[in-house]
Amino acid sequence: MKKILVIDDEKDFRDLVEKVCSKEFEVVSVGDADEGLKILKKKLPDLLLLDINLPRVGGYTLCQQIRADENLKKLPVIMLTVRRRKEDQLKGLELGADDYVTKPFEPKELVVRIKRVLERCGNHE
Amino acid sequence: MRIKTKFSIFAVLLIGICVLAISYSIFMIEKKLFIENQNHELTKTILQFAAVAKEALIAKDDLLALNYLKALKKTSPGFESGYLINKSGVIIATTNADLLRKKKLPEKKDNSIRISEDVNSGEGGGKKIGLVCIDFSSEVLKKLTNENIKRIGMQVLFASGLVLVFGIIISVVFSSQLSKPVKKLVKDVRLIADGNLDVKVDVSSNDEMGDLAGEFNKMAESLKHLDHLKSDFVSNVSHELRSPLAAIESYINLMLEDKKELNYENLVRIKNNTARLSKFIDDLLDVSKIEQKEVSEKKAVNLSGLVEDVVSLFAVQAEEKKLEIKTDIDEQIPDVFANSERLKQIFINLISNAIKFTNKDGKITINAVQSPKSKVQSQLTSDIGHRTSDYIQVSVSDTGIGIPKDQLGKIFDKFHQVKGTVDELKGPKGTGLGLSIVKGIIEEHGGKIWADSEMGKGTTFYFTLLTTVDGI
Repeated sequence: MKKILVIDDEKDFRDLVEKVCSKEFEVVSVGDADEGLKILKKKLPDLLLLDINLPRVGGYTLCQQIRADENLKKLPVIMLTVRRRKEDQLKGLELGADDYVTKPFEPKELVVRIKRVLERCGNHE
Repeated sequence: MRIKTKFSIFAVLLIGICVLAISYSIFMIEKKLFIENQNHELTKTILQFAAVAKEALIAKDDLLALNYLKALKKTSPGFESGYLINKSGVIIATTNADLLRKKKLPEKKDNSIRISEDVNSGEGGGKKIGLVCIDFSSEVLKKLTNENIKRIGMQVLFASGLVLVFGIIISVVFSSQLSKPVKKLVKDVRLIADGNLDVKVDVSSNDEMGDLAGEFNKMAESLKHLDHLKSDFVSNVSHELRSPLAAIESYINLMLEDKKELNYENLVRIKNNTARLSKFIDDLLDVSKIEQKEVSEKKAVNLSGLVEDVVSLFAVQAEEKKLEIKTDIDEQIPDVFANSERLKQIFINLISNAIKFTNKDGKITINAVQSPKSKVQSQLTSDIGHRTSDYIQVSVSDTGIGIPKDQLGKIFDKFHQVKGTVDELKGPKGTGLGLSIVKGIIEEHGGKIWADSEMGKGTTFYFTLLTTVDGI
């Protein structure tokens, strides 16, 4: 089973992702970037679902850090956020996110997108 | 009319008036001095002639006096004729040969000035031994005077013209120097007014213009800060509105897709998020009231009664978590001067926070004392600036999870939530506005709020309220 890490400060969304994805993936979730980074450094998951509005270190910054890190830079990242403006979406993709999903989302759509990204990234390796 | 032109005209007028006044006075003084000097010269001439005449009389040397007179005729301007008369009244030396040895001095001509002087035997007195007399042509003297006055006039005119020209040049240069920074200031301030807040007014002169530029820069800086605050606020608000909405919609989507998810737990989540939304909107309205510095209507309020009312609102919640809420307010305490609705809001926000962040079987204590004189207090008194007996200090303490020391200063900022604590708690997520509202209300009431906390042991919020004695 592929492993997914969720970094989102809203407990409702962490629980939702767990509910939606737990059938097909192993889901671990944390509430802020520092804790997320700790887990990433310990054991690399197969994919990261990353919120943008996080306390202290935001999602954009964390995404940049991941892309700059030798060990983490190949990690597939999907931004999962309430920010729906085109600029935010572009910024996320420019900073290296593989996909951008806006909240609210439909559970099926999220699962499909995760699978797609995993496939794409798997093919490259 | 431009400042530069105004200033130039003003300066030129001022210089002109000054130059005119000064040159007129110089001219008048010079004229007077010249005339005095001329009179002095005439007196000197006659006195010197008298001295020579004395010698001539004593030595009986008429020729000496005659030669002296001849020399005077050549050298002294305006000299017409000179006479030396001995004590018997006979002219013994004169430039007018016809009158030599005659006993009678000719009448003074109309256009002459006659100066005469007695010749005495001793120094400055003694017996009169003769008389000297010189006629000067008043026409020649007047001509000489006029010529000289004209020359002086020309000199003064030339000098003042020179001063005036230099003055005009200097004032024009100076006024354009003066208006240059103003022009630059106007240009830069126009840019700032157009919303370009990164512009720095670049006037570094060490005077009022420099000060003004500095003030403009400060203004632009604080505008920029306000602008940032505003856009931060807007983005925070939209995020805080969107998050619960997105949660509600996402959970509805989940339940629509999968009937098994249509359960109590998920409905509670949706309810909590709607509660969070409406709480957030209430808080926003409160914040806006406070930001607009809306002054509330205040009257004497009995603190212990008000606190009892608020505490009763939380009875059910406290019961659920098995929390004890204790109030310790002296009934003798004077009334506070406050708006009772807003005062309630303070207690509601602080007590609901305390309940939220305190684990089961904890304790919440509300305390009020009149003008405490602890160490923190004496410091505070000087801050607030009123006498120690004029306020009441209220404290709301809990035995909750505590606030990290480095966060204590930030908890009153809008949208600030202490990291890592919020998730583990039940119920709707907070808005991050509660404490900023409390702080706003307390400040509007002339008080001050601060907090003290120990991780794992609990937090105490202190605030001050004015008593009616001071308030009314």
